[in-house]
Amino acid sequence: MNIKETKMEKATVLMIEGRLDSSTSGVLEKKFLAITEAGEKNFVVDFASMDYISSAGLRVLLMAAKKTKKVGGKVVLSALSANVKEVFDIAGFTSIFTISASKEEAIQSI
Amino acid sequence: MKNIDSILELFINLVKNMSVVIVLAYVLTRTQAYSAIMQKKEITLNQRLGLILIFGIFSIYGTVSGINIMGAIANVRDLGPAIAGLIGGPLVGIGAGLIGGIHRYTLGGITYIPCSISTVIAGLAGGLIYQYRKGEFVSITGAVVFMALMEAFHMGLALVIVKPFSQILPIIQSVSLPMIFTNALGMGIFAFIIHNLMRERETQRTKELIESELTIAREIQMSIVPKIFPAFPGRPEFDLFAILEPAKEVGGDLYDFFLMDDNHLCFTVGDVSGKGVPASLFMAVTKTLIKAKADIRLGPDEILYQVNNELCEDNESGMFVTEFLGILTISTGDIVFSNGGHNIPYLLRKNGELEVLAKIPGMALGVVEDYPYVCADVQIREGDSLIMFTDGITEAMNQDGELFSEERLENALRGLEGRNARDEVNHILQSTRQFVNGANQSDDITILVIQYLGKKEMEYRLKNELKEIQALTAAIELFAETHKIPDQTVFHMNLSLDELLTNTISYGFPEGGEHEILVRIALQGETLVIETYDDGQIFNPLEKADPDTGLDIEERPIGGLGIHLVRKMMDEIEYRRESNQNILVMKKQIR
Repeated sequence: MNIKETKMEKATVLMIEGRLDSSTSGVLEKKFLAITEAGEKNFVVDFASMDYISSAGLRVLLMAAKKTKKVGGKVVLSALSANVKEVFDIAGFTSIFTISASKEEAIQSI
Repeated sequence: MKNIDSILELFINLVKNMSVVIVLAYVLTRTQAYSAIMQKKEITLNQRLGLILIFGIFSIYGTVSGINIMGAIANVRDLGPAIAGLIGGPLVGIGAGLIGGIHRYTLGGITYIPCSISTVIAGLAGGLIYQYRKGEFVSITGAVVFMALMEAFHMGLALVIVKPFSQILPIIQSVSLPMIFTNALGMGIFAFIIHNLMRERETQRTKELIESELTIAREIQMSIVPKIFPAFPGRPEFDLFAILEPAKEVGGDLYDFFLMDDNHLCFTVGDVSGKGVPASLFMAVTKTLIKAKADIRLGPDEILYQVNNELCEDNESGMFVTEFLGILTISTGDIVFSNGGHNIPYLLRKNGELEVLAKIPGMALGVVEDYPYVCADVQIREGDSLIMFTDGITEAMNQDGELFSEERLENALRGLEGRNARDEVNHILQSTRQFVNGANQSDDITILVIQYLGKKEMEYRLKNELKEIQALTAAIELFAETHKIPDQTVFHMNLSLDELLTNTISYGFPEGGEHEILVRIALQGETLVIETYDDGQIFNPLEKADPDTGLDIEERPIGGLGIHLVRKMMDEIEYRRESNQNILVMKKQIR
């Protein structure tokens, strides 16, 4: 799994490539912690190249959402595939997260 | 001139009288009373009285329509009571005789005594014959002879009783022949009509008997062959369908299929040589013998060998049966088969190629004992169909006398791709019906198709390390592609297994060490069955309560999501602990 980080004016964009599961979610978690520690509070997590997410990945996202909310920021997710969106629906995450069709839209919405 | 005139007059009277007899006979035989008599049922008092009356009146008619010959009246008075006696017994005969006799008595004349007496005696005599024949109507010859003798007696009686002898003799001489002849003829006509009627009834009864025999034959045949489809709903490894369309006159076709054990399907198609009830009984015996002898330790050739010997024993009818028998090993698709003179089955490969099975030698069963049957084998693969049939198909004839033949059957089979067993059978049947185009079906039609679907199963063993889960995913994706499982289903399956196995690997082995987890996936029809087996500590993931997915971010706890996802993505999930193992079984409909 690879994470491509792009720092933009309104938010930090993280593009996930590959699977976000129990073996790889730790990497994402560390990244979040590092960036929020550095003071960033707005994130766009782009799933265009992410083909799989398990509950481990969901957990990391939830944790990120909680953290950023505390400091007045937000996490917006973009380009979810149909399968991934379904997982979010089942988990009830679609009400918690803002979900956009593309990362450009996501950046706009922040 | 006078002679010819009187002969002519006599003749005309004769014809008149006979006509009355015929009409009387005809009308009589259509009455219920007569039906009762024919069927040997009890006739009621009223019916008896009716007969007495009718024949009594006929007797009077006989007197009245008589011809005067030298002062004596040549007539058919005795005929009525005689017939009455023959068909209704002594009482009816005497009754009718009394009516005619008394009437004659009142008319007086030279012969009034012998005539009246013999009228009654005619009735009695007829009745006695009835008794002797136990109610069965006497033969035509018998009736005629009886009547002739009766009239001869009548004449004799007159000669004896009437005085002076010299006066009666010439009368009797001129009257006897006409009397005997006329009465005998009348009786002959009546008896003829009665016998005709009896024969008609017999023919009707025989026809009904034959028809009920046909019905019985068909019932025997149809009640024996298995007709419930799908035949093995719990065995998705193969698809099976069969039909048997009996001809009007049942021809003794048979088919059967049954599991010999969990991994072997025995199937057979046959055709008995005869028709009707005997053929259907022979078919029933053959089918039962096959099932009784079929044992997994025997090959199909040995089964046929034993069945043949049983059929040959006590086979007085000389019937025989052609029979094809095969055994499919379900897990491998291997078929071993033997043949007793039956039509060689076809093998329709998945790609549309048509093959015919090896033509191994074999005689029909029931012909000669200890016949050495042989066997051969063939490998079928997923999507292949074995097509068995009887000659009701290949010898089906259209109105021009052409046969459907193997050629047309092969053409029909070549057009079958991507169809299930039922469709294949119906297609063959349609093709045959279309060809036959309404002509009579002369022989039973039987088709049995077995389509092999293969075992859609996979097993995977992984070590208790998280990184192993990815390799499992790859194996599942390959399995899914082979069996055309939809993407979304595969995604759910992979995610569910990921969640469960992550749990197991992370928390199931607190003491560490290398452990093996078994994952088994099977596609049974439209249901995916996913099982996991591990020997970790007791852990039932289902005991965890579902997370409340309605809570806000702040309130949502981090854990509990995994199992929730699994529950939502799978249709069924069950846990049990057995032999120190955690066993999870999940089911999902793929469509």
